[in-house]
Amino acid sequence: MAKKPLSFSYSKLTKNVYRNFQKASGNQFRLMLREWLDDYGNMLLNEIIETTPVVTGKLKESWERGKIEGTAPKYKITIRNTARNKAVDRNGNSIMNGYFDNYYAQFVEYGHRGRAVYLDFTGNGHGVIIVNTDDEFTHGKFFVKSAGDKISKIARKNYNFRTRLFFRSLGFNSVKDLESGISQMGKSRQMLKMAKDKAK
Amino acid sequence: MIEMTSEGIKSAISNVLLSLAPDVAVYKESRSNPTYPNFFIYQISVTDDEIRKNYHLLSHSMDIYYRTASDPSTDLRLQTNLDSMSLKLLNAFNIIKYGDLYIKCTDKSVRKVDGVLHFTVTLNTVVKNVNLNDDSPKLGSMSLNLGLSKE
Repeated sequence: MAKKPLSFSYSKLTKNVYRNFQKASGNQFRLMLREWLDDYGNMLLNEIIETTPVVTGKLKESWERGKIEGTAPKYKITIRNTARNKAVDRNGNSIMNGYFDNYYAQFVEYGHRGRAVYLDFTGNGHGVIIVNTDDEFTHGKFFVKSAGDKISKIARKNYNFRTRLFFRSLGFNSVKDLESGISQMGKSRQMLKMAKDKAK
Repeated sequence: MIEMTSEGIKSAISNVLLSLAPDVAVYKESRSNPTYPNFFIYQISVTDDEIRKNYHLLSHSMDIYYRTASDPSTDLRLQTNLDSMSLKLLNAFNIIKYGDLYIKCTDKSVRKVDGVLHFTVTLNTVVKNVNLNDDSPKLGSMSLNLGLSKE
């Protein structure tokens, strides 16, 4: 009977599966997972930057990617935009009690009431003001959502591919090999623990 | 076979919304003088992926706006209203009916921006390819004679 080939799905990466993979790989799986996530974060950031709508270019150049946070297998990468609207006078002093000071990426993504009008507050080419004409609504661009949808599909496939390569490089060629490797690793740990208990 | 159209999807969503909140107006297109509170159904995108031969996965990504007033600053219970509606929407959109089909709702999320509740949802359906009548001539058999010629 043919051996079942190695196949992995990202959705099946539960805490227990992660622990078993860590055991079988001699604690190397965590590093592989972080490397994959790092690439995923970069791909996502690139895609978001590419698809960001441009009026002044300020939004496009204000994307930042944070470090990988959290503990395995639940990692988190934050991608944020630091572009702010600011109403200032010619001397750069804040006017209108900071009413227009806010991060505006969410308004571009989800839309907003009224209509956005481009005004040059400072003379340096930056400044957008939202004019409320009661019944008007500007629809969102949803560029972050579409970038996320596109890249997550690629990343899931890439996870499968990378994990398969990783376990093959460790000598596991089928699911049966991997399962026996995990159980052997478990047994050896148990034996080690028993030996330690005996020594005590 | 049922034909999937964006208009049909919007109608299926509006049926769910009307059963959820019968007093709230539902708009599928932009209106110059809308009544408040209202729902507005906006289509973000449609993607088509071939999952196996002759079968496609159609994903309609939709955004449903919930607006309580023309100027949200006049609504004193704005946050409470938006929060209660977001819970209702999350519970109502699991499986929706489209003709005889049942469509699964995935990737549900809720966000409040500028006094407007945005409920984004993806509707996934598997559809079969329509067999087109292709009258173009087909290659029946082919033989290949290979050899070296003497110069």
